[in-house]
Amino acid sequence: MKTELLEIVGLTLSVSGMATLIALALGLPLGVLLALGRFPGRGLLAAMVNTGMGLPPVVVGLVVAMLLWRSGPLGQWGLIYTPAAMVIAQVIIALPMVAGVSMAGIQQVDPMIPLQARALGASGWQTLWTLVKEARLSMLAAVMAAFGSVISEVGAVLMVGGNLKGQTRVLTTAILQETRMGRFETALTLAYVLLMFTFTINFFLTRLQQKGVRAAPLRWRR
Amino acid sequence: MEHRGSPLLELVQVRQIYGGRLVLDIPQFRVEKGERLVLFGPNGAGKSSLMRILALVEKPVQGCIFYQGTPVDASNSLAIRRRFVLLLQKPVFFQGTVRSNVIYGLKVRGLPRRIIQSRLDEAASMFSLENLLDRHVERLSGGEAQRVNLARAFILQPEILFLDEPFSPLDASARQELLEVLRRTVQTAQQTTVLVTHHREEVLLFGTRAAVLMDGVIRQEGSVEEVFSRPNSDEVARLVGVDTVLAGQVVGAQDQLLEVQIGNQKFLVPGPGRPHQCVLLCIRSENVILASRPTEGSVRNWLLSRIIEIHPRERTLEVVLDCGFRFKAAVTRAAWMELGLEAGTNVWAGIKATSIHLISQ
Repeated sequence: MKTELLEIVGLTLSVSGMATLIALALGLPLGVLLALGRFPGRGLLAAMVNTGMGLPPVVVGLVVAMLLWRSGPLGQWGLIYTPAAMVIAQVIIALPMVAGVSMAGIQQVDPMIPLQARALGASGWQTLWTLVKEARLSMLAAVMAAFGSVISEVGAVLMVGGNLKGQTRVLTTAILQETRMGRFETALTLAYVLLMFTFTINFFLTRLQQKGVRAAPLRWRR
Repeated sequence: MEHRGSPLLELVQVRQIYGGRLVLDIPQFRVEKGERLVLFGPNGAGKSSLMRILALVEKPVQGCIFYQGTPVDASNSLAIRRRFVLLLQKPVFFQGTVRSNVIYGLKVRGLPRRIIQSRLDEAASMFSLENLLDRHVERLSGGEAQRVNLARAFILQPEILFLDEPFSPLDASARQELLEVLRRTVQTAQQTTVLVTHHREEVLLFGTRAAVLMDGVIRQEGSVEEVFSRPNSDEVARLVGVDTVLAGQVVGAQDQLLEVQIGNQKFLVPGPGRPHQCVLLCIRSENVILASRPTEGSVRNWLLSRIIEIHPRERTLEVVLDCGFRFKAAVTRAAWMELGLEAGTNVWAGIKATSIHLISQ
């Protein structure tokens, strides 16, 4: 059981971690582009991103499953019921979240920041990096929101992963499996592990996010 | 890279358009090494746009920029831009400490830590920031923020320092004091500086050369003294503080002076002109003297005038006079008391021919 638990935890972290990283790699530039760019279709794309933030995982699971199904358009890739399929589904869930939150974060940064950075000699990339750093509270919120949503979702990974023991079983699908079989004690242990992981990762991300933030203390009026 | 005789920076046929509106049209403009150039004009004249183009942080829609005779293009623009620093009207700080903000420019230039530290020590001592370096920028007072802003510009030892109304959020006395300190610093270092302002006193206090901008066009440029004493148009004259601009016609000449008719009055003024030519006469209120009767001496123009209005100013009284047309005089309170003047009474106003500036039209 211990080895099996470690396998499940390992797969959960690697699938959700990989999905979050890919979503960040794609979503961050998209968020920056939507925040700063002026191009035809920007409004539509922003609306799509915002809609995507509330996308039901089960719908994502259905669409990805149909695409990767053996007779589906991408069936020849042979990805259905593999961790790769789970990563794809989770990226689709996390991507709009990263893009949407980072877009909002960058739009809240003082619009004079890029000009000030350039005026002090920053290159285009350095200016962009300065902007991202200024929006780091939102950026880390995006990471937390994305990771939190994919590690705790069950519908999509179940549909595209199949919950195969030793291959595609992750913490959420394992909890579902154990509950169905009436093994509530095991299900609770797994739920506890999932919560601990989510909490620990978010704790460190929050520490990172709040580093250097010096809010003025609240003073209550008498 | 340097071409002998080339200005430090030169704009040729530069145009800038915002939202379909032409905001800047500069056929040619130069920044020379070591000068303190002031871009002067009313709000919305295009001063900040011109400065941003000069500082290479904004690209014009049309035109060429030359740095020491070499055209600025995509391949050299970053390297040249890093020789300059532009300070914005309102200090914009990045999140973090005073230290991280002051060294920002050095870090983006990839300078070694050792040099960054020694330059930081130097700048901190120059602007008395030693005890502020670890403070979060959000906790700075207005004056401290200005010092940090100046420190992060001077730490870069720029070839050209661009200042866009850097002290405008401060009150007049603090602004004047900081500008005086800045003038002394840049004068000692022979630092090429370009300052944008709409305050006359800042042009006089700071600049060696001035360019007057109106509606995106440079209306006059030259030494500060020249622009202020010999404006080339009605608008520039009013901008540089000429109180009275009168339209008249040359009717003759006398003792190497032109005779200019304005209403029923004749003025003797120096300057080139031909008979029947339309001219503008610029008279500064401080050059008008009031007397109970015309006195013997160098004053060639005496006008018997009625006192219409009196406006108290900080150091003088501004007196509006009428002698068929209206003009202004500035008199000290002591002179006013001595003459026993009041609104509605008549007084002689004397103006030296040499203190009148003539603009040919």
